[in-house]
Amino acid sequence: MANLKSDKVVFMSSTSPWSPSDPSACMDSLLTFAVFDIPATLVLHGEGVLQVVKNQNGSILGLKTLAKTFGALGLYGIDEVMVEARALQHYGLSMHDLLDAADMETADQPLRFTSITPAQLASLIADSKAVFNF
Amino acid sequence: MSSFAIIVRGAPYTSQASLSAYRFANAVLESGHSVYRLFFYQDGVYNASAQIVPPQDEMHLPKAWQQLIATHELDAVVCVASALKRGVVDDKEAARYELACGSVLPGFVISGLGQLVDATITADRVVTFSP
Repeated sequence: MANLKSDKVVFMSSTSPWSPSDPSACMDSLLTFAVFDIPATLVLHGEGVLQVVKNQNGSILGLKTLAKTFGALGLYGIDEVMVEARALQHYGLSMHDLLDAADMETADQPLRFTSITPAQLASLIADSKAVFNF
Repeated sequence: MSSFAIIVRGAPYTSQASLSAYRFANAVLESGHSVYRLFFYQDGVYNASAQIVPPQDEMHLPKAWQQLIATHELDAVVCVASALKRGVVDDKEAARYELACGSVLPGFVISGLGQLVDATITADRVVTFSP
């Protein structure tokens, strides 16, 4: 059967930054697809939006801080991450609360966070070959 | 007929993910479709463990997977990063990290996430079973 859809892939990450392994597994997969030049979009939804809130320090828990990992996405050609608008609202967050270039320690073009509505998300999923949930 | 990539992210006996994936793989093959690749990721790598001994009156999921893989000559890939982290290693990795012995069942192949990329792009359908 021929593939009717594009080779675009969506990664949906809905776990908090301090979940045991899902955020890093999601990031590992995302970066691997990017290495192979497969268009991949990361969508943070639900608790996942907390992954990109600024001023977090994982070392207190003996864990990696995700900020630098998000800062490295540009090296893989990923310059935008989608953030679920409804989740931001749920947690009382605005775009100003999210990581900036200083947090991500990146000298390159800073990662851009774009708010996404349920309708836009549905369209993104419909246009993708596969969706991975983490 | 379609080809499927089946991704298993759950360990046997801790969630429904592994058993559902196993049943789904069987259904795919019995329906005349094909399985392009099984990919065991995160806790799903425990499905490839040779160290699991369930009670005699319970299904031995890792061996059931092994039999399915052998019968249909399936490509069954275990993510190397997830596997090393969880102590599921083949003899080669065991020697590299100076571990006592390998612990992966024959039939499973330890490899990288590139295999997931290839399976996603090549197979007609990608189905993930998560805990």
